[in-house]
Amino acid sequence: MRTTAGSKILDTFVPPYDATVVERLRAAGAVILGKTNLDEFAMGSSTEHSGFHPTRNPWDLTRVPGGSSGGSAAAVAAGMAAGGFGTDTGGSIRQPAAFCGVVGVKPTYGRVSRYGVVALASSLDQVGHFGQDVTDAAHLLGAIAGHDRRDSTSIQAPVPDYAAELPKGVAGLTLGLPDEYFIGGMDPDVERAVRAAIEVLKGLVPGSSRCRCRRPGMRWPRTT
Amino acid sequence: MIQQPIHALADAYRRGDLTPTAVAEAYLARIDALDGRVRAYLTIVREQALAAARESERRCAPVPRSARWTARRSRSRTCCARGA
Repeated sequence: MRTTAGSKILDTFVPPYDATVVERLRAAGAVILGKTNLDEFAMGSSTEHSGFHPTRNPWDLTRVPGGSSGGSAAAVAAGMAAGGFGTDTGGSIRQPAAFCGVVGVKPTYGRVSRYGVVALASSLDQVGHFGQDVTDAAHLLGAIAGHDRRDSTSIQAPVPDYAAELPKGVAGLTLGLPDEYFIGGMDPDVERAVRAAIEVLKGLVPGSSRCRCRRPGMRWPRTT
Repeated sequence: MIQQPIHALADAYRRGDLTPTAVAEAYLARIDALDGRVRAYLTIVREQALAAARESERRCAPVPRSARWTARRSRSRTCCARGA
């Protein structure tokens, strides 16, 4: 299947093999409809910078769907796919999921094989997905997660039954809010929405009133 | 038909209320109707998708009459859909 990474340079490129994620999806019975749009080589946050054409937000065609995996997010939001996949290096699944109102997951680094995936920044890239609800997101993660000897950064850890864990809810989880994520230049509307969401989570997770933490390593991702 | 999550589709396949081919056709029809405006797709593999759906349907088909008594006992169909 043609794989362009959103670039005209790869306009006619058909890879000689499937990515591990695609292999696993096919084995799980997935029916693949096609490939979705993204900012060229995943470098962008709006899907306006695809080499082919911009993608629109299906909720309001005058707005962007986010990016870089905006095509997948928009396809799921518009009911043009049951689920969608992408990669997230610095928000490229989580941010378009938020813009389009679908569930987005960036799995822990190493959880999902990157074999056969076009890289942006190999030490941060991770394959993830968009689902219509949390249960779907859990099933999709279960389908693609797991060790792959063809990706040396893939971790050897058992894959939990994510969907079976869901009924346990969020009680007992620890909510962490890294100070480093609340930086200058944050859009006031964004900050208001984030802080409102934090209050909702604090209500759901007992004992989470003191949830500030620090991630001093956050100085380094930009140079990674 | 298709405006439901995957786990609901899988349940519908198991009950025999929907088939993978019908759902794949419905998704392709929705892409035809909407993607001219949203432009989410770069490549659509219509024939490959329908072939994969037919293959899925073959795995999900109700069991043949000769084997039906075991299926009745287990109250299930031989279906590949496991949620994802």
